[in-house]
Amino acid sequence: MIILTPTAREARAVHGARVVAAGGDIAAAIARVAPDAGEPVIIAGVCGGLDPSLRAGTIVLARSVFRGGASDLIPSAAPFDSARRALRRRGIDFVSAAMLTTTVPVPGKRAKTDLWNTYGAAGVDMESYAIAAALHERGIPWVVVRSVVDTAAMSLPPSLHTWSAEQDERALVRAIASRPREWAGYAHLALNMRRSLKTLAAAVGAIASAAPAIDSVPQERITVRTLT
Amino acid sequence: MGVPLRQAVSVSAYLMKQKLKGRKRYPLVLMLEPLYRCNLACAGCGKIQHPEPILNTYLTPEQCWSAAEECGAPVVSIAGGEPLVHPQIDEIVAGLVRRKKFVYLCTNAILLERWLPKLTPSPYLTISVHMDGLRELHDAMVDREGTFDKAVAGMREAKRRGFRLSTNTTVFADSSPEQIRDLFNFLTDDLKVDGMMVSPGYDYPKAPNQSVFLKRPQMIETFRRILSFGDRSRWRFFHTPLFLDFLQGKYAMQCTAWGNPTRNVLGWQKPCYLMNEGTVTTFRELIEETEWDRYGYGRDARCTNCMAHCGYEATAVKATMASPLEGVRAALGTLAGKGSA
Repeated sequence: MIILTPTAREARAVHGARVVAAGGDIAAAIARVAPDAGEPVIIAGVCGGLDPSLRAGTIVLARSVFRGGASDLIPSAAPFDSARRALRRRGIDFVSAAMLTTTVPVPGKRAKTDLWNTYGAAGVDMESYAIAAALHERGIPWVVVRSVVDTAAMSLPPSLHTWSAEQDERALVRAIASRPREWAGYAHLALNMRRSLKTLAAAVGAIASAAPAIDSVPQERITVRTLT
Repeated sequence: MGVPLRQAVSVSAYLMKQKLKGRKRYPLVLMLEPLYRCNLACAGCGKIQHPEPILNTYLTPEQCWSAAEECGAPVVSIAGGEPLVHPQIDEIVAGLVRRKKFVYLCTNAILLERWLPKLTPSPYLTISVHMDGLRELHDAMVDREGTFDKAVAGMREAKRRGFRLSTNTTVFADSSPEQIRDLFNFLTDDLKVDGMMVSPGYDYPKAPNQSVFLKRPQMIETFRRILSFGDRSRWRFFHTPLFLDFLQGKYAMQCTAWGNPTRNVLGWQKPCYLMNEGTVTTFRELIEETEWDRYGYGRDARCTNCMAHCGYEATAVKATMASPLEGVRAALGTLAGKGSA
């Protein structure tokens, strides 16, 4: 079982390893980290909430992943069903719903409401579709597991509106430091992030430990890797 | 919110009690279907397409009361089928009122005048009449001429006898905002109903006419137009302001399917009032064994075009309770006897 996280922060939470941020040629990265087409992949990370019923830390198990102008990607049935059962068994708060991938962060409440009314996706992220598409192309089974950070009712601090996953986290810290007016927003976000990463770790752990039910992969083969 | 003060206070107290008990899922309105048999075959109804043996099955009054007690919801909406076809509907209603349940007796009102002498007016009883338009539109939607006049006569008689009267309007693709405005003006000014409920039609796969259903973006546009008419300030809705905002796309909500559990002649229906994935024998099984994570807008394709009050009003009520500002807004609406602006 392979666990992919788009950013270093997420990878640290899931396994405690220090890794670099995502970016570059995803297909090539997939070829390096998931060479075996038979081994299922969990695409794990955090997301923004569009479904207004989701609190920070609620898990979204993607029933489909889509982005504007491209066809929907449907996760492989066996790992998806196994993941659902594992989450239910552990009593983890989750929904199985559509996940939207955008190229820029969705900053405000109004924009989230519009996306919710238009697409009905439970969550929004910036990476799942590209990773899932690359896996799909190689015939590798996958599921997407995301944990909500900023809920549908929350707006992101302005300095995050143009943030992209490829950016250095230190650049983000510098941006935050230079904008005291946004500190309250960041504090809220940080609390949510803490909760979100905690449930993400629990969810991924539950799903990974149920992996033998997916394809009889021995537990010792469960590894965490990050796209670089 | 437009609902009577007594009901608003009682429901608020119930919700606070559930919160104090730390309950995650609890019912707000029991959707009680004591029979599937109906005396109409409406274009947009997918409830009554059952084999004869099921259509001939009726819940007994004891089964209805037991369901209300088992579920514990403060409000009971008696639907169906047509409840007034049930030979013991007066007993069922009286028993529920005795248990201090706020009963909404939903009917097409064809048989209403016949039943009124056997029913007793009560602050706990509201007669809720299905009314989809003025004469021409309503009769077309229920596929029978004369139904509108019959229903109006029954409603006038109900008001004369002192019953609390509300209406339930389903908005379909065939109904223009202007037609709905004219209906609401008639119900408000002429019939002087105590309140109105409104909801977009749910696209039942079994409904006889599939062309009558609106898609979600059309629903939002239609409700924006309906609720932007100047006449709006006079209309009294039995809805929370948030639900009306939701219908206009101004407020995002997810469905609370377990807020309106359904008990019908076959048992407790999974997962909600509109979708039927079989039944279980107890309310507890329904709440604990249904995989709720699978249902709702964005989670199940069948929920894509659903904005019905039986799924979303419970969400709106909970959100109203959670927000002091919305609480004040709803309270003002209740005291003024109106819905949101």
